[in-house]
Order: sequence, then C-alpha cells, then structure tokens
Amino acid sequence: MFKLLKRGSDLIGTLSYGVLFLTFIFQVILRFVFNKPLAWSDELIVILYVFSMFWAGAFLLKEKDHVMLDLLYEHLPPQGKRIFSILYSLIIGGLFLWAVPASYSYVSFMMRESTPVLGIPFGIVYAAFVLFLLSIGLLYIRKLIVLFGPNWHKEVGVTTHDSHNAESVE
Amino acid sequence: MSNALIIMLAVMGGTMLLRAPISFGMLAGGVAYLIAKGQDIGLMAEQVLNGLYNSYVLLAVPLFILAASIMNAGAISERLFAMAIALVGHFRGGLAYVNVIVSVIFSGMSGSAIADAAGPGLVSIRMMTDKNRFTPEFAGALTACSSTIGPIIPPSIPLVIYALVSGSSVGALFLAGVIPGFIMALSLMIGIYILARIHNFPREERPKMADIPRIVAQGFLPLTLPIVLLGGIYTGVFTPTEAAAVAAMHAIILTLYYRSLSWQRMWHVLQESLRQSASVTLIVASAFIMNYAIAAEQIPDLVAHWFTQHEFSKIEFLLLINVIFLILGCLLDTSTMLLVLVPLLIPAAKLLGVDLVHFGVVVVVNMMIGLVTPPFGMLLFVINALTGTSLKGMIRQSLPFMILLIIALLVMTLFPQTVLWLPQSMGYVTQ
Repeated sequence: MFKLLKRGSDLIGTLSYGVLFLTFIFQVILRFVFNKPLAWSDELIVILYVFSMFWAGAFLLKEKDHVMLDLLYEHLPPQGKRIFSILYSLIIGGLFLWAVPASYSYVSFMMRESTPVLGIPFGIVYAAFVLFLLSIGLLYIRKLIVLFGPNWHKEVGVTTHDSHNAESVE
Repeated sequence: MSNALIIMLAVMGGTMLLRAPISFGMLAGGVAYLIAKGQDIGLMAEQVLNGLYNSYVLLAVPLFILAASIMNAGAISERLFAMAIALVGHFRGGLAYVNVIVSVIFSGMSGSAIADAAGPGLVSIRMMTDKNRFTPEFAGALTACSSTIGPIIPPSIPLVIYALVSGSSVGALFLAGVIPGFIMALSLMIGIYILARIHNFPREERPKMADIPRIVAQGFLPLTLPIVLLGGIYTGVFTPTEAAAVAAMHAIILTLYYRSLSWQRMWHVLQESLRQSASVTLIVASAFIMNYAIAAEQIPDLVAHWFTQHEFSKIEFLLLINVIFLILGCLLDTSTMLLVLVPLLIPAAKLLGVDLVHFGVVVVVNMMIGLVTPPFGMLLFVINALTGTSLKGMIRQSLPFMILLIIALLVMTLFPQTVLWLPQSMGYVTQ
C-alpha cells in the first residue's frame, strides 16, 4: 500500500516535470517556427513549476538529497550525531507543523483567485506547499521517534555527499 | 536589528550548523520570525509561493539541470575527449590540458559546477589516472578546479539566481561570463604548463594527421549547442529561459542521434533532474521569506549606509567583498551566500556606482573558488564520493591552481573591462 502511494507520487512529480519541459519546447517551436505566440503555455509552465517543486520536496526528496552543511556533524561520535539530529528535527519539525494551519488558511483563501489565462484557482496551484510543510513536519516527527528508540544508530549513520547529493546552485 | 530578526538568524544558523537541510532551516527561521513579530504565519506561504510564481527567470534552473543530466547520461562528453586529445594530447601533461579544455566546452552547455565534475570530470579523472599517468590526487584536484569554470561560461545557474536577486539582465550576465571563463581556463593552463615541466608529466601519442578531421568532426556536433545558445541569446531570438529549454532539447536530439539513451534511462534521468532541481528551487523559494524579513528590517540600507559612511571607493569595496566571500566560501555553501548575503550588498554596490553585472560575475567566480576551498568544498566532496580519492591529498594538490584562480579573480575585480567588454559591445549599457 505504502509502496503504491510512493510510486504514484513519484509518477505525478516526474510527469508534471516532464510536461513542463515538453510545454516549453512546444512553446519555443510555435513561437519561432510558426511565429505564433501562446498565452496559456507560459502560465502552464509556471503552474507546473511551482507544483512540481513542492510536490517533489514533499514526497520525492530524501533528506540526503538536500544541501546540508556537515562541517561539525561529521566529526562527532554517534551519540553526538544523535543529539544534533534530535535538536534539528525538533526545531524543523515543530516550526513546520506550526506553520501548517496558517498556510492552509492562506492557500484556501487563494481558491478565490484564479490564474489569468487558464483560470485555475491559485489555491490548487499552491496546495503542494501545504502538503510539503505537512509531509516534512511529519517526517521529522517520525525521525524523532526513531532517534529516541533502539534503532537510532541507523538514523545517524547515513552518509552524505554521494554523487547526486546536493545539487546546490553551483 | 529587532529581536525577531535575531531569532530568525539564530534558528537558521543554528539548524544549519546542526546539519539540517539549508532550505528547511531558512523556512523554519521565517516561521520563527513571524511568530516573534506576532504576524500572520500565512505570510510565509504568501511570500514563498508568490515569490516563486513570479520568478519566471528561475525556470532556467531546472531546464539547465535537465540538459546537463541528459548530456552526462548520453555520454556526450566522451566524444569531446577524443577531439581534445587529438588537438592538445601531445603536449607535455596533455591529458591535464584536455581536462581543462573539455571543462570549457562542457561549461558552454551546462550551468553547474557539480554537473561538470560528476560528468566529464569523472571521465577525465579515469583517463588521467589510467596507466599511472597522473596521481588520483592531482587528477581530482585539477578536475575540481576546472569544474569551477562551468557556471562562469554561460549558461549558468548561479548567474540566473544572481539576476533574480539583483534585478540585472540574465543576457548581459551570461555575456559577461564568457571572457572571465576563458581567463580562468588560461590561468589553470599556465599552472599545468609549469607543473608539467617540474614533474615531467607524460604526453599522449599524436593521432595520424589524416584521422584528425574525422575526430574533430565527431566532437563538433555537441559544440554546436553553445553556439546556438549564445547566438540565440545575443540576437534576442530567445530569452535565457527559453535557451535553457533549447539546450535540453538539443541534448535529447544528440542522444537520440547517438542512440546512447534508452527510454527507461530517460525516465530515470528526468526523475533525477527533478530531484536536483527541487533541492535548488526549495532553497531559492525559502530565501524569499528570509529576504522579506531582512528587507522589512531595512538591513540592506544599513549595510549601504555603513559602506558610504566609511567612504569606500569602488575598488576597496570590491576587494573587501572578495576577501569576505573567500573566507565565507570556505564555510558556507553557494546558495546561502548568493541568496542571503548578496541581496544585502546590492544597495551598497549601487550606491558606490559598482556595475551590477561586474559585481555579479566577480562574486560568482569568488563563490566557485569557494567550492574547492576546505573545509566545506562541495566539489572536493563530490569527487571524493565518486572516486574515493583522499580529500587531504586533493586539497594539497589544488593549492597552486587555487592561487592562480584567485589571481584571475583579482584581474577581473581590478579590470572591470575584462568582464564588461563583451556585454557592452553587444549593447549592454553599464552604470
């Protein structure tokens, strides 16, 4: 069941990213080959962009995919790593969940406004952000539970800096 | 500075040091700021979402990442090597020159130093260490240094983000990066020339003269992309964002032509690029709330005021910024510096009459050097993870190249014309 959900969310994220790209190509071709500018394509691209980035942030990215600074962390003994992880999981998880209700009410307020060309309510375009906050908040709660349990070794033993970790802005 | 701002910076800096993902730290800092200020927390959602929705230029980032991933997966860089070896392989230390030349060519297609190191860089290291031609440490160090050219020669992801935070033109920034990129390549080659004589580096066999045109022709096809890209942007046929889409399309057509990528693999590449794009975009999006708070507290004006009060000249300002950024570059990652520190300095730069395009190229070159400086040198980490080469050894070997790159940076700082000549000659009006 969980695997199915995971696969479904992977599919939704990757598809929206793929469609974003194809729309872009389509737009460039129409504009320069047939000299026909499109009004809806720019909007669709931005909508897919906002959606797919937060969707991926919520469901596709693992913690090690993010840019992290392990200047201090990597030199710590396991117990130190555990304490670090507990501290930041508490702060991030807590503040993210704190922000969920207000963000939800902002996003649902934005249901009243629609994008100018396609008429899609902003509430839908922005919904992935609330999912993102909620999902990350809950992930850190889960991480905290693991860190306080007997299997905490596994949680702090993750190595960072693999080949596709941290595609920062460089 | 209000208490709320201090709380925000403490949450952000604190979680960052604890090793929380940087984007999460910024968002959490934003939430803490709004709580401390007693403002509506929904403001964070508003700032982040509207900020991202209105940053059309940022779309270039996922597209350039996709283009680079396709090119790496489609083994396009391998074809460039054959060409570069045919041209310069017979020099003393031939493969080291090849490393730099391929970096230059590849940077005309990719906008990320990491993509550069993980793609052609890795191929280059394998070649250089084959039959013990070079030590792995030297090959790794040189690759890390040559990868820094990637985001200087257009396209460039950090320059796109700089355009976003500074409001300058992406086209002008891209043009401005061309000559500095070549200056960096040249300074690395000077280093190779000297080291090759000291250490008696090996040469490659020269291919038969009759074969050279064929080898060059094969490597030439990928070379058409930078020409199309730059040509398109210069002539205004397409915007830099559209250029990014064209780049990705070009990469797909090439891989189809070479038949080097299956559909299944393509899907995988798409998913991988989405991950990378999301991790960059989340940082940029999170920075919107940070910058909202920083602007609300009028910090950039305070910084500008401080610089004018102390009567800094343009050059003094740029040199001071360079020193600060070189030091911070050892400790911080590029995105934090670009998104949090650079916006603080923009008003000061404007007030002192520093051209924002010149400033942008200088800080981005500076930050790329920061990618190789320990303890936090992302490029060194990537190469270490991919090849298992010792960090210590690479750091030692990279020293002469770092000095040369810093000299190159100094030249760009002191002589703005090296940066601005090309965009000016294409019609960009400087301050």
